[in-house]
Amino acid sequence: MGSFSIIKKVSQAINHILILVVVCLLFFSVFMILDEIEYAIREAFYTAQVSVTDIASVVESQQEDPEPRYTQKEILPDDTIHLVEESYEDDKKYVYDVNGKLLWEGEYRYYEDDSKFPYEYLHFNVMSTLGEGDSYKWSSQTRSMKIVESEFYNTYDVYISWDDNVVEVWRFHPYFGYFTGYGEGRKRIGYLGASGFVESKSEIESFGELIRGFYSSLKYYYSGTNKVYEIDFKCRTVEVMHDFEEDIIYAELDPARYNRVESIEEIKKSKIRYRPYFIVQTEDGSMHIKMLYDQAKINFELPSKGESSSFSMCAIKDKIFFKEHMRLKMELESPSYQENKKFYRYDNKIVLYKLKANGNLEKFNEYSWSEERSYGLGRETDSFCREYLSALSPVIYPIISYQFRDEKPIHSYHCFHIYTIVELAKSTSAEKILLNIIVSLLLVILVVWHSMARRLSWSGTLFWVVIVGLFTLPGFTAYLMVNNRPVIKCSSCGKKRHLLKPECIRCGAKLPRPEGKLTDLILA
Amino acid sequence: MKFLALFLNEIKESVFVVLILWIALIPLGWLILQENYYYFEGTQWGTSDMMDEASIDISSDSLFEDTGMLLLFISVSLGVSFAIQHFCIPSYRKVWGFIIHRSVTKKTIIFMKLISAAFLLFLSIGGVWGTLFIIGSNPARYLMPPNLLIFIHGLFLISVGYVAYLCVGLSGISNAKWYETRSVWLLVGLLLIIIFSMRMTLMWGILFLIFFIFVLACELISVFCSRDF
Repeated sequence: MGSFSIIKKVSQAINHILILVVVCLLFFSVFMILDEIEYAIREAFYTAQVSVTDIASVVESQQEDPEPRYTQKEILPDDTIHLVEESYEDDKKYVYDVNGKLLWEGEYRYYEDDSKFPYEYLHFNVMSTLGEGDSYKWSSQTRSMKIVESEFYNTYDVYISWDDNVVEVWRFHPYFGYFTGYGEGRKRIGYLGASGFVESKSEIESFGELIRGFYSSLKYYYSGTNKVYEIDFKCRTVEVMHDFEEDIIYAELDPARYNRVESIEEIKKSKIRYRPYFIVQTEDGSMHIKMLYDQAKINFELPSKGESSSFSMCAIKDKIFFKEHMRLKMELESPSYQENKKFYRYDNKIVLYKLKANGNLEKFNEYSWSEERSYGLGRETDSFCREYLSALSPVIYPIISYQFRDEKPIHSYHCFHIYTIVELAKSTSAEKILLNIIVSLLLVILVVWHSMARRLSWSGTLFWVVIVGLFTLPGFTAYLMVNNRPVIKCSSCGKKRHLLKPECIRCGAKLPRPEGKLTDLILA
Repeated sequence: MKFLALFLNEIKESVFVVLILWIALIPLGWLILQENYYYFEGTQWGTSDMMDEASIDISSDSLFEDTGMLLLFISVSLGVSFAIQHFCIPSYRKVWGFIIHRSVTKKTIIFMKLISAAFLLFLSIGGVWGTLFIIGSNPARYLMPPNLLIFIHGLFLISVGYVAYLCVGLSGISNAKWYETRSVWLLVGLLLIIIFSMRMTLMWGILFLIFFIFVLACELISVFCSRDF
């Protein structure tokens, strides 16, 4: 009986926490709606205030300073940089050199074949997560269920076929980390694991957790935590391509587009012959490239990388190019007629390197340019909601925001649920923390006062004090939802008491019973 | 015996729903299998002599692709409809007094309802799911069988319907006002369905599911037994 009572209390507490989570989400929704309304009102108010003279000055200013034209910075295989502008107004394309001299001009429609275009530029593979120092382990992606995307359990079947005849099928088991091979009529032919091909299940050695898998037209590349395997299904061989002491934080097979059927024609037309390679970055920041055709391996270090840099790479017949794009953002003073906007200047710089066989990066070209952009004021600026309404948000949110203050890509979180909680906490976190704490303390006092007459136990009251102390208004709302019981005046002590216990919580007096009637005996 | 009689009575009352689901879902599932058959159409097992000229292709497609959301939707709808039948309609018709004042305890009644709901949920959709899985495993028709984990995943989605049943049940028998915890239980159910729809491993999903079913069932039993009808 005692243990059942404990289970009942624990399950009740968990249910109360579930209610609290729901209230937190409701608070988030209300906060966002109010913020949106406030932003809309402010925008409408500002628009109404702009006078005719202001509009005239805006027009005049725009005439003086036209919008900078957007140009793409492209690189030819002979290391030359071109500035390419695509104008959608007159369906024309313009090519300039770095000094602004027009090299080519012609009609161009993005949806039409551009065979008339005289240049073919290098296609760089952007290394999106490179250098961020975060592992992209996401709790083993292949083991994850993906219900939202309405896909079932993520399994891989490797079909080896010839003229509509399937010779072999190799099925990957994400939980166990190996492939099982099936021959004609689903007859099991063996297993492929880290130790290679084996016929018996007892001999199999797992590849370990699959972080990312890539497949070229010939082979499968299995990137684990700190090893990369090259699996050849036709020959039934497994080779360890890389074996590192540090964890792998980035791995990519390039050019990945060779795998797409629709790009075969595009590849055939191309004059540039790309060399496929496999690139890996480990936790210590070092890069490791393996060229897949000639098996050459190059290890190198990236040039010192600022926060605003991004890297991309491409390998052709005799060269390996690295492109570093640096971008520095600087806030400018807003003109008087556009105070509802923020103006920024971006100082951009592209630095081109060639990777030598000994791992040295040789800088051979660079190009710099600046551009100005303006953005509407963010909702976070001078917003009443952000400044004052956020004081009602949970006190715990600024702590979470502080813990996760660095912007991290979504895949660096081990669990999607943690990412959701962090984003929720960041978006409604209090701006004025002192006010937030004061509000929280006031609500705690209110809870103590309110629960004096309604409490069932001191442990229950303590539980709610902690919850309200940490979760401020959402905590207090959840408390009221669960505990707002009606109270009566005790006939013995005259103070307020609730009706859930037969004894008064203050004086212990029993609830008054109605006076007996003559018919009670018969009805009983 | 009394428990069994009550249990059979619940089954009898819901057997119509089960039959309708079987009649509707088996052809629907068959259509989905037919639709996903195209990938393997015309492909047959060959011999290993052609290995040198063979090409490799990787597929993560499944025979039961795109059925996850449908299964989740049907199981949640069924869980909600069972909860309405078990808890909301007696409250609306004010027949709890009649149901409770039999020669059985409140605990027997609530346990019977919980067990019969689970049984009906798995008999209706679980049965259909199992049948379709057996059809999909036919080696004469399909090159490779679906993975067994897909079947377990399907059962997991069916169990999410039971979470919906418990949450709607809690809302149905709650004495609280709509702005207190009554409507919150519906939101809790919605939240849990969203949580279970997010990306997580199957093992963690099953553990979470068992945990929340246990917690919600404890609360439902506790509320039902302590409430005056």
